Amino acid sequence: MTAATVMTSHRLVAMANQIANNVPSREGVAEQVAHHMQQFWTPPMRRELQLLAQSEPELFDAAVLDAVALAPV
Amino acid sequence: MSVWFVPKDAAAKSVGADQIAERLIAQGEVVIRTGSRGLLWLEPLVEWSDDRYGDRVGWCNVTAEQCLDVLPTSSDGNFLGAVDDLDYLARQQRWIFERVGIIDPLDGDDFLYRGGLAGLKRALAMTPNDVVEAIVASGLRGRGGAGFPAGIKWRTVAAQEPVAHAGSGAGAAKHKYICVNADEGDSGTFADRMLMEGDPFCLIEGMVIAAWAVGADLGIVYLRSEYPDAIATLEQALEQARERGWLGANILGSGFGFDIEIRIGAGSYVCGEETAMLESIEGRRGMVRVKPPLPAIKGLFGTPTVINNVLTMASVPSIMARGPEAYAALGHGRSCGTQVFQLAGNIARGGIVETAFGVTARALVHDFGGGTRSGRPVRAVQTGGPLGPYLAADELDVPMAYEALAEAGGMLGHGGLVVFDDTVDMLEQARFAMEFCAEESCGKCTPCRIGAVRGVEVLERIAAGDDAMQQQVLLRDLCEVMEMGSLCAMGGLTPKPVLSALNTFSEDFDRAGSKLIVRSGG
Amino acid sequence: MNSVQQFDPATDLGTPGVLSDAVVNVVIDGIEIQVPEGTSVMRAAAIAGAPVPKLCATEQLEAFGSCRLCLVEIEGRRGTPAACTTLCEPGMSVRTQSSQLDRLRKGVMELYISDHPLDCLTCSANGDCELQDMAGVVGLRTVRYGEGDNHLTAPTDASNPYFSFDASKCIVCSRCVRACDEVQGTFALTIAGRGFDSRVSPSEEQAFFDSECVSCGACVQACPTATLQEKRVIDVGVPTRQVKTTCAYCGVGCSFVAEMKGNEVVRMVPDKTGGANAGHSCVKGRFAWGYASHADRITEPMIREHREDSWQVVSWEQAIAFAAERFQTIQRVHGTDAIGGITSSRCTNEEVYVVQKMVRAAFGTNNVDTCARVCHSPTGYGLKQTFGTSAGTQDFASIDEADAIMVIGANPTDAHPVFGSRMKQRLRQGADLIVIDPRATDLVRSPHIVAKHHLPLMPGTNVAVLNAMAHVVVTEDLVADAFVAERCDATSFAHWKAFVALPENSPEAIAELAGLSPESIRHAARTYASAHNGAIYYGLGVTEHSQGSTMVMAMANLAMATGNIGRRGVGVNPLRGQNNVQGACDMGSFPHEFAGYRHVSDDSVRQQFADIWGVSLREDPGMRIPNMLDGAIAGHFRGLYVQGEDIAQSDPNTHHVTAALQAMDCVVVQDLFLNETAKYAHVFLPGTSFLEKDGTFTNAERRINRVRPVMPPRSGKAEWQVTCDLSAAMGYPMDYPNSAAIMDEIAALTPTFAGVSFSYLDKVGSVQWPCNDSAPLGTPIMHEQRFVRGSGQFMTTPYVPTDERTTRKYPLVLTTGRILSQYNVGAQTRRTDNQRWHGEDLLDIHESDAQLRGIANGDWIEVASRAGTTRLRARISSAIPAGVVYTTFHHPVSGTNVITTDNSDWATNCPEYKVTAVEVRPAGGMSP
Repeated sequence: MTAATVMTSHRLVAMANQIANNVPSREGVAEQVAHHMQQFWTPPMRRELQLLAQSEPELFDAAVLDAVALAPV
Repeated sequence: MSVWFVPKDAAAKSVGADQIAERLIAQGEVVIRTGSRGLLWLEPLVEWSDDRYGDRVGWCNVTAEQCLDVLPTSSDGNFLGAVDDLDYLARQQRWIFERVGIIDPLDGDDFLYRGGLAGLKRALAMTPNDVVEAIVASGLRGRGGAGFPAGIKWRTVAAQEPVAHAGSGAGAAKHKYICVNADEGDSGTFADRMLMEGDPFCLIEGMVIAAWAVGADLGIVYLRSEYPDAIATLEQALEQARERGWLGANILGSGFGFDIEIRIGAGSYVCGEETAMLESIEGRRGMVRVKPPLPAIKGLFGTPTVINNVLTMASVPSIMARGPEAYAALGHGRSCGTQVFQLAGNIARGGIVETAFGVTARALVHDFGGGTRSGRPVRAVQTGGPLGPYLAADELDVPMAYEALAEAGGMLGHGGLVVFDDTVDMLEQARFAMEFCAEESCGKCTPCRIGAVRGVEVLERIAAGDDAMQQQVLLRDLCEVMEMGSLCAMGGLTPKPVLSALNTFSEDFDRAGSKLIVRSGG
Repeated sequence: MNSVQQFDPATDLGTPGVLSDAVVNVVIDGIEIQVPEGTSVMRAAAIAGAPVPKLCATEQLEAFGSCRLCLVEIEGRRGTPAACTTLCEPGMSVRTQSSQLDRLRKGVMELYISDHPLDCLTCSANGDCELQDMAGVVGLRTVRYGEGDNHLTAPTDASNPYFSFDASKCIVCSRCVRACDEVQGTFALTIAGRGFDSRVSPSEEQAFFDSECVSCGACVQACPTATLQEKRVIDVGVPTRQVKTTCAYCGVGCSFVAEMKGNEVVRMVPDKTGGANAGHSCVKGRFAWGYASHADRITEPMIREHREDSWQVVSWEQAIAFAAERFQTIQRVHGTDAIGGITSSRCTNEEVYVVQKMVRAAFGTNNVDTCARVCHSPTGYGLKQTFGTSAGTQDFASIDEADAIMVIGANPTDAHPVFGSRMKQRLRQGADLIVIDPRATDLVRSPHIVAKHHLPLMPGTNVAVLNAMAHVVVTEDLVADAFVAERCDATSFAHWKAFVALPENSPEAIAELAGLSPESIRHAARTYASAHNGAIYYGLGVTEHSQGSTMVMAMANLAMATGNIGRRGVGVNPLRGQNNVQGACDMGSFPHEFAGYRHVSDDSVRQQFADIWGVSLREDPGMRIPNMLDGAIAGHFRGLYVQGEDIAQSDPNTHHVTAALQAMDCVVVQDLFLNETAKYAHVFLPGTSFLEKDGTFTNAERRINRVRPVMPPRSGKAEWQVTCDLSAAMGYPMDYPNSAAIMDEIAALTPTFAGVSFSYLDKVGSVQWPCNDSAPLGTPIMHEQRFVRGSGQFMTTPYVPTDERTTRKYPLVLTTGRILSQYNVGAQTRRTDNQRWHGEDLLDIHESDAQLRGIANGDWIEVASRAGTTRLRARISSAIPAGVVYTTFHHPVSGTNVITTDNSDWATNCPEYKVTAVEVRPAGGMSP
């Protein structure tokens, strides 16, 4: 991975964490995040997030990790 | 204890009344300052009584020097005897001016002693609707000039719901207003001023009655800045009225609330027109509004508003006190009650004559006024202010009443009469009317804004003998445009004096050919 | 009874029309006619075909009654009342002609002409002068007043760049003064002096340019003579033909009549039949269109091998072939999804539609996004979630019935001036105003208007403040229970109610962080909730935040809870920044949606498009602009087609944007000018100005307006044709005979547009979508019977502070906005005389912050954020609170977006332009 790709990958995680923080309901956050990504993210973005969830889970909010598991790519 | 009465009306002060009062006080005398009796040629008219409420004797044209060492005595040449018996006063019927010149205008007790508040008390004992109907029944008509029945106007306002100020937010307080137009701008008129300086509580009482009748909660008196004494007197009177519970949240314990503010205009003649006055009070340029909407429906700040002249409003207390029937019994035809005539110009005995409508102009000019001051023959009498027409010397038998005077080509206006002797140049008078209009025009409508200036120019051409006949045709055409086309009475009435001068005194306009023609009767 | 004659709708009927259920019958010159109660005699006469002469009257203004030319006779009435100020009464019989009236009118006209220059033949208004017309109508033949007092030598004020004021020709009708008051609401003009000395005066006897005048042109429009005249008309002469079209500046979408001489525009005149503007205009639409013929305009295609090379002018065919070849190569090497396109809100619906179609059908990807991404994407998201459709709920006229108007993060008097004027008209009638904005915008205090509540909140605390207002509504029993019960989803309402009622959402709890007093929030909430009609208008101060979408939902919640939705006078209304933001979004410009806001994953919808387009379509969402830029930096996104957007100037964090552009193999820019983005482009395709376009714009009220070409494209090709050519070169031909055919395809594929066609628009003027069989005349007010999504959905809106925090290093919050005379990145307005009002961007700073840093008014300062640094001049301002600084972004040299950051809305990635933590220090030295 180049520095540029690392930076943009980390942006993906930040975006996902931000979604988890902001979805309307505090119940079922992971489902909401998964649905949001399904609606608005390209499959490669979702795939990349999945990979990052395995390689750098410490960057992720717990709900996002759950969402990644829920979201089919 | 003997008391001296010295007027502090502006007219008396202008001829030394203050110095007389100072001298008397300096000599340890008790002095009460009053309004003026309205016999202006006699000012300063100083009165004395052995008791504050006793009969009075008077001296006319008193000078301060006269009071220097000795007090005036009945042997002085200017001793008048009992003032109330003076023919000029005895022949009047004073309703509005009943207390003016007699009481200390700022002494509420004096006011009460002389019958003040009787009308208000009676009104508060009646339903508002009955008060409105009493005013309708009295036949009282607006004294501003148009002569519209005051009671009908009140009825319209009474029928409206209060309204919040235009542009105020939801939930803003709702109001109706009583506006008194005290922008007395006609030359030769001074009755509003003398009433406000001589009996301000009378005006306040009238406004409270009006407010009760129509359900208004706020009152405004629109005064001109040229009347500093009237402003000061009215301000103090309002303060006292609030202290005494004659104004405020609970007037005379009735639970009814009403208060009055003074607004000062900057001396534009056109602000005497009621809608221009409203504009001015609202803080805008004093320009005439288009009617409708009538101010009675949508007036000050968009609220239902009674607008009456000072004399109209000041007529109300005595009508309520003495009864509308008594008032309606006075007068001439549909002109009921009394009018406050003001005699001015070239006149021997100028001043206030309050008497029932129907008195002839001749009686006013000759019997009251004593003819011209110059002693020369009367040539013309202008009625109704600077925009009123002229009556010729042989037309003075007309009864002074709205309809009768209008039929004779005259105009009652605010009740002023200005007398001219036979040296007057009526073309110059016509020119003056146009110039006055040009000077005072608000500039909104074309006939007045441009027409008045052109009128002056045309009259100057006639005076110079340039193409005089053609110019007279043009003058008549212009007068038609101004009369029929102007937005308000300012431009609409200017042709009146011009045309009456041209028609009645055509010899003054006939300068064609040369200035060789000498006016006859000169 | 004679029949009423037809009248030309262009005729000025003299006084405004009135709406009334009651009618009155009057007889005018023997013609019986029925008019709504409250109609003037003048208007009735004009309708009856017996127009009365007039000069001070125009139907754009309330009757004034000053010229006295319209005198008439009324049976049974004394005198000759003015027809303009006399209202029709039942049974009234009016005579408009008589010998007396002839005399009077002639007499009035004689007075006018006695003080007017007799230079008709050389006057710029010759042939277009009401005074001249009326002199003819009344038959004036001589002026008998000889030489007299006059204004013939009164001076001309030519200080305004666009129009001049020749006082010698003024007839003091006050139309200009009244237009400034009644229509524009600026109150810049007055009549100074009295009587014959009356004269029009800007502000306090100042020159127009130095006065409070905002150059909206209403006075020029209103002037019946050549007194207030466009300089263009003085220079060029009167126009010979006219074309109705739509302004291309802000989202108000004003209709204009382009008045032409050959192919040259003489002037743009606001169209009084315009649905959005009803005859009003602002300085941009009215005057600032000269950029279309500016020397900087590029009219020939250009290419270059490398972005370091100089541009080579080529033929259209060469340019298209070059671009297609590059894109195809990229796709071959890096995959289908390595390219994408950006559509422009400045372009027509048809132009946008073909670009997104090219991306989806010819490129074979959903990598299409639009510049609305950076402005109103949260509106689309938030309103869709709550109401069910991504659009404002009202027409502009709705505000005429609003009783409480809440303006949040918007500055309509500068950014949407024509609607701002309409709003001010309603406010002057007494509606309450609530302004929620860090800045004391002009609206907070303007002539005859004072905001009832101004909440100068800290940027970034919108959601907290709206939650607190909602807290007040639910805890003080201000909920419209019946509306909620009938129209909204009960479960979501219960959740929301419980949420906002939490103590942490009370005004007291959030007051400090928002920088407001709890009482001010409570009062504002009560005013909005208890108004008969409460309306919300908002702008980018709502959307351009990390919680932009949340805030849109918070406003929608509040409107639903208080029953302020689904009728006139209420609603949630985005004020769209650009002329066609709404349209660009409607047209399927977002990577996840087809036209009409339908998700690409919806099989049946996708099938419809696939059938008509004859190509299979992708079901997965494509990349948004920031994803594309990130992808470029990561190396997998390499080619971009940019339609009329200057992302290098307008998008945040300029360093990041330019790095991304630099990383791409092919950037195609379609624009009027060589903009900042074009510096990184390989292909430049010259675009067309709005004066050359044939299509439609959709404004902020969903109104579809026709844009008609007033001249042929200067580049020789319509923009949609260029896109079609590129698409064909990419292997997917799109054959449209004309742009009308594109709209026909849009209508066929988009249920909300089903009834729309050019021919229908040409017939009705404009229409608001949805326009289809169930709403053939369009839909001025949405959600009247039910919400588009069924029942209104409440969304809980937890306040999450932005990551962009102030620190000791960056202690101030920078927020950005627009001003009246300039427009966005200034590509158009900077190329007009509007430059004279705003030649540079300034940084507004509160006096205490300035003092602390030793900054004086006019000093050069350096503004630094975590993203970058730029230099501006400082202006000490009391319009912003301490701790906040403000600037505009109209000049590229200012580099405002060098300092804005990558932060964006959580749901839509709309950039957080409105909150950047910065430090400001004196720059020393001279300009950068």
